[in-house]
Amino acid sequence: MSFPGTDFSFATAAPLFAIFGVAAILALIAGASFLLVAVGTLLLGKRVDNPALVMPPLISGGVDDDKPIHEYSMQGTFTLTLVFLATFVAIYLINWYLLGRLWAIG
Amino acid sequence: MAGLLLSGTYDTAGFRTCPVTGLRLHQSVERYVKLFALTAVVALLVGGISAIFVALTRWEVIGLATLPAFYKWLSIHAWNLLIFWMVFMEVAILYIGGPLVLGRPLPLPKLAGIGYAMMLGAALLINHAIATTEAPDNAPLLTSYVPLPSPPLFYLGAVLFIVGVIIAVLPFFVTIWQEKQEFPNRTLPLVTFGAFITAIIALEALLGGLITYVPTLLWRIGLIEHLDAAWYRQMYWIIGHGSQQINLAAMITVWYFLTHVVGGAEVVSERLSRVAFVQYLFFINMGAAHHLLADPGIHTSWKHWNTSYAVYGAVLASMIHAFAIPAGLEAGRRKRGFGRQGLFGWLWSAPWGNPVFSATALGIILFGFIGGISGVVMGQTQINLTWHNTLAVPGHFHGTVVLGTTLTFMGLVYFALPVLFTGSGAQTLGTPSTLLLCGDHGAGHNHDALPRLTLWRAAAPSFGNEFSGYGF
Repeated sequence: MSFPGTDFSFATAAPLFAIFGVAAILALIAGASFLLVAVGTLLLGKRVDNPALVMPPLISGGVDDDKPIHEYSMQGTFTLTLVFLATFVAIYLINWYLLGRLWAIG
Repeated sequence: MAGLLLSGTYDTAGFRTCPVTGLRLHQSVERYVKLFALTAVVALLVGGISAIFVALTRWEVIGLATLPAFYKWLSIHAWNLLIFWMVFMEVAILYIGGPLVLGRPLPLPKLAGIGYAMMLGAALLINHAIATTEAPDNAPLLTSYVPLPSPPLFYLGAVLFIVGVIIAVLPFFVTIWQEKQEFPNRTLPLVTFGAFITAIIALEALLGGLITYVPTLLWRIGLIEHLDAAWYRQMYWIIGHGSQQINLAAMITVWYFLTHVVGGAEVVSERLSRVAFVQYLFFINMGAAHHLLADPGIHTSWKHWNTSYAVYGAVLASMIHAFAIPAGLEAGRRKRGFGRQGLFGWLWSAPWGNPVFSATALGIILFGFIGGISGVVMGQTQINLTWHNTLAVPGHFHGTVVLGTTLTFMGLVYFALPVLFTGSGAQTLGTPSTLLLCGDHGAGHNHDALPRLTLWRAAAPSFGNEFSGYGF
């Protein structure tokens, strides 16, 4: 790719496009496999008389006390949320840093 | 085909009890849910085929399509995946969240049929118009920016599709009205409430779409002499981004539904989750303004109000859902005795082998980390300057629409296969397919700041349209 009359060069982007190309092919295979599974199930799948055996419902299983739901521990989720927020802050700051490097001041 | 839609054993009133969810399902609802969902999967196929040409052309080592053909494939890709795959599935989700969850028959089924027929006809018309585009018309991409002309049939198709969706959504609203008439003091279930908010956001977007596309059609066939490009852009993004807000609200509704049914989640605070949905209603449509951050002719204070103060109301809502859904999964699984050991026992012991769960869970995680963070960062005025019109933009929305919504909707299809269509097979291959889609989209759509469509298009020799109405 080149733009006549401009200095744009995309040579440095070539490795990114290689990653993009390979990943895009994987995405196509994944999408095709979804369609294959979905359409194959509809047309050739075995009939299931009781889907609860294929997909065990967890709605009513294993409750052994009357404790309200909010009294159960959510520490795992809290930890994951902190990881998420840390990633958020890091990406936000990196982008401000990259923006700051665009123009020299002074 | 008819057998697929009509299968199932119902009592004399037309109901059956679902053995997985325990819900009472009426055949009128099931039939239309199946019809809309199947059509969505066909649109996914068409969009997937076009993706081959888009990706292998953009990867210039291969360079599959010529330049005009590339834009046709890109337009077919955009309309079939961002619009038809999503919207057909979302009408199915509204029927699930409304009459199916409430155990009611679908009211006005003829209206649902008319809406479906209009949507299908319009989708075919739009695909035909794009495929047969000839100069001086341009393939519309998703945005069909005025003053670039596209085929008149394309604009007609867009108007018909919008009207078709409005008609198809009406039975959902009637369901809510009937439910509240019959049980005025009963609270709507959270999934129904989420679907209701989704439908209102959809209606706003669709009305914006009519405001955009009816005058544009009249302009294209010569009845209106001039359309201001800046006006078009502002009106267009009501539906252009509004349609993606429908995806978001529908996807989150499905997250609450599927994590509960196949993961054992409980809603920790119904009130908080409902407040978050209401915040979407008031704030998320303003987020569309981030598409205009680099536009001339719009005052900075307008841009800042919409993309900073107002949109954070919507971002806060997303943060609430991002905590509430995994927290509900953790608390619900701990309560039921699944994986109580350690910090993450509840997560490791989750049914990852079930593609319904793995698609949903990975959709939640990847939507948040890739689509969500990139969206908030790039929607910020100053940082937007470095992201505007680069490949980071498709990188962002593939993070939201593919890793988030498409993965979630695939999970919903895997759920519907044994439960509604009563066929098996999805269990064996579904999980590897889900994992593959996650892996490659995570790798392939990172932030590589290259100029995208506009610059590339500007370099094309056939670019001869006037920009006199651009409002500089």
